[in-house]
Amino acid sequence: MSNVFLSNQSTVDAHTISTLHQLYTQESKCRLDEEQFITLLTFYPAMLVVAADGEIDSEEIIYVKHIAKFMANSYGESQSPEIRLLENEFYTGLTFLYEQQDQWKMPFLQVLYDYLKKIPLLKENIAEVMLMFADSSERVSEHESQVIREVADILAIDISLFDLD
Amino acid sequence: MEKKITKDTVVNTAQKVKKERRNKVVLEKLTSIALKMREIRRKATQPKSAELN
Repeated sequence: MSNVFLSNQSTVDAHTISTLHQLYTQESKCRLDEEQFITLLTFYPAMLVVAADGEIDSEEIIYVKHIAKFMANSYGESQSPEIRLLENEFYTGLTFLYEQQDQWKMPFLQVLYDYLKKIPLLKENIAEVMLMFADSSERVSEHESQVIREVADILAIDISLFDLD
Repeated sequence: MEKKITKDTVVNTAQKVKKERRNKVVLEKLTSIALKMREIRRKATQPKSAELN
């Protein structure tokens, strides 16, 4: 069973959204402004669920593309070239985060935890999206269930109302 | 050469269509959640004076 949250091998030292955004932009070469970066931050838990078994296979890559697509679609007309470019940026950003998970996972979750203390209303949506991605592969696997519980624990999200068993 | 349509082909195609339809519904729902979340964020960061106006 994978337990990706027990160790923190990160050397990324960022404690606010602005510093994390700055560092992330430098490293990933991703061109997201700070507002778009917050969107990426709030949907990062969904990517952790997709990659719950430790790798992203060809089917799961479609889910990563889905995350990038709906994040971009929330910024405007889905067929416009600007939104398609934004979708590519989100996709690049998510792929980078997956490949560099050891470095970025805990800083992302820590900054997201702080952000959710300011806007707790978002917690329910974050839990809902994680569950939707886990559920999209017919049933919630043990790995997915474990990741959801661990992320919820780190972010102080109450998932007791969701049926994970 | 004409391709023979078997029961498996029909089942596979039906599953593919079902999956694509499901993906589309999920995508629409997720986009609406993303919009809702942006709205919550926007309201939360709005200055109090703007809210009163």
